[in-house]
Amino acid sequence: MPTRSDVVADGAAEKPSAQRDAGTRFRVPYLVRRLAVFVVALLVQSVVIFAFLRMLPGDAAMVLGGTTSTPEQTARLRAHMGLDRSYPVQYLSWLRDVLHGNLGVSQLTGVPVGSQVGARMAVTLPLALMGLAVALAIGVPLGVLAVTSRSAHVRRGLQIASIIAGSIPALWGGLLLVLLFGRGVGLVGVLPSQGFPSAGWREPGRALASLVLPALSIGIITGAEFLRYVRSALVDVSESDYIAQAMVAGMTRAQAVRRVGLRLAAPQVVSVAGLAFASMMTGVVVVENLFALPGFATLLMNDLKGRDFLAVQSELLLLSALFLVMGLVVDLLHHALDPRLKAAAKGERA
Amino acid sequence: MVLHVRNLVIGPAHAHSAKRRAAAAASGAATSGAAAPIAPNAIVKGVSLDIAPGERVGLIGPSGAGKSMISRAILGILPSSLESSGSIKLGGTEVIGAPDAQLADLRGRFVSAVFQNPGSALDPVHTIAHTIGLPLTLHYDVNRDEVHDRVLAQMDAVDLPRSLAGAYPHELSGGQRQRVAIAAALITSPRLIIADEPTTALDAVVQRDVVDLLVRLVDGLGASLLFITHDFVVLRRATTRCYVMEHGAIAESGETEALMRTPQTEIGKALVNAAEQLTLHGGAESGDAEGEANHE
Repeated sequence: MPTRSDVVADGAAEKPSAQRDAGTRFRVPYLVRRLAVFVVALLVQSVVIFAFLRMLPGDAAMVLGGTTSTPEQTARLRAHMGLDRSYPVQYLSWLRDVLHGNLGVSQLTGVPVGSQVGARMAVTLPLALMGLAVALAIGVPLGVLAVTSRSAHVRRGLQIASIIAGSIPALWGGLLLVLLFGRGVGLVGVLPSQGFPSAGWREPGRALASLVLPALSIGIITGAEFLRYVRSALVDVSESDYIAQAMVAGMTRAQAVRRVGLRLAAPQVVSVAGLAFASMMTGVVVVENLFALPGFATLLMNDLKGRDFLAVQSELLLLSALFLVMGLVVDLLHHALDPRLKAAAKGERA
Repeated sequence: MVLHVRNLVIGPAHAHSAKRRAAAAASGAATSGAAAPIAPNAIVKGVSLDIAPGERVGLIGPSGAGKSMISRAILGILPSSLESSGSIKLGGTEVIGAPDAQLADLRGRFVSAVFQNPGSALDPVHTIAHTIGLPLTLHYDVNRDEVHDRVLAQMDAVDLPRSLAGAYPHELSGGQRQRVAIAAALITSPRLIIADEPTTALDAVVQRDVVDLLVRLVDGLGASLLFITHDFVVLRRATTRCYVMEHGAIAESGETEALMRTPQTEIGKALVNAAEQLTLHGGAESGDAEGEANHE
């Protein structure tokens, strides 16, 4: 079997030599360019986060001082916390610490922000991953069924169900699940509905069980959205010549949609899943509160209420980095899923 | 007959079409080929045609005449917004009303097709070796080595360099893509090949080579060909007999050469005149093999 390089060599041979030289001389690997964009975007976001937080009224010194402290006491506290320095100095100091892997210390609790975030992420990250898994497990197969089913009733029913399920507020959906499956209160009380084990993931069974209902709460709603996206992407592709060609080779329409259509729609599904996962990281705050989970979103909200700007800006920067990483992962997956994008990237370089 | 079409009507699918089809099937009207009332918005209006084993037949008409929809109805791959009635017999199997699984067994084995624009039909995320070998793997219990050997042999047959086996469709020229489509269509040695305007997206020189290749391979297999086009010059090269279509119906039919000499209908005359006036194709007739190399 000839190798891919044979093909590339064939193509290159047709290209005029001057153009080929120009293409190779300044060639920068796609991943390096993408990482450079990642770094620049993160720097810009750090400036935006810092600046916007400083526009909010109040600071940690005022919160700690409370209503009884005098302006002099508050000023002394502010100086002690370094909040009296100019904004550029505060920003550069924070940035230097972050670049050294130090996210700072909470101005309210004195606990390192890094360890606070780590402990909370141990709840939120698995919760978001489980929610995403539930959403994909619901959205993709039902989205395919919504296109391939021979029954118009099934197709229409799924469409209506996806609209209804996607419109359910997470709080209401979560409450419903608690009433159905919550241990002690539900009709079939089999799953814990409050809190996270104090031993955390050292008790994996209990930790996992405590995340099932919250994951279902966000997963079912997001799954309904996935269903609509998958259906829409497949409807577009199912009438295309790609499907006709697959059917001419000997597939049924349903097989062609599953094997060829879903593969062609995969980049769109990956984009939606990436965005959904990133938004789940902050969007789970309602669910975390409902199920009394000590998650990252709750930590962020508490720090914001306490005007712990140092903690909030580090947490937001981490979130921004997560969003950018998701974008990068989605982009790389697109390239892995669609060979045409590799050719386009090569074309850009040339 | 390899293909036997009677009173084929294709029109928009109705909301209650399933019920109507069921009622028609119960009365035997849907598949008997008996003439049914034709709706004014029908795309194809009572077409009948036959293709004998080993025969190369053309279907010619202007754009919008309903040619492509006939080919899709024969293959059982009409868009979901359309439905067909009448009778289409592939070999001895009635296509209209047949379950998709039964038609899928015929497609790629008994009947195959080459579409107008392989750039938007060949699976863009798989190599051409995968695409060419797909009908084989779907219909026969063959191991990977056998498929690989058959794919390379098929690439030789359509004059594609073996070095392109690992290439993707977007890395090939238009002519090469059409050769891939032809290789995929013929790998299982089907009895009927439907070529739906396979040369329209190609330039004149490549058109001639693709038509000649298709004719040579179809004749070599002893298969039948339904060649759909709007161009009599291409049709003359590809077929011995043809049907002329206009507004969803057959206007006239006969031997291709005779029909080109003495067309009986206005649409036949218009299509023949258009072919004679296209000087571009005169170049195609006198082109040489070097032309395709330049384009590819």
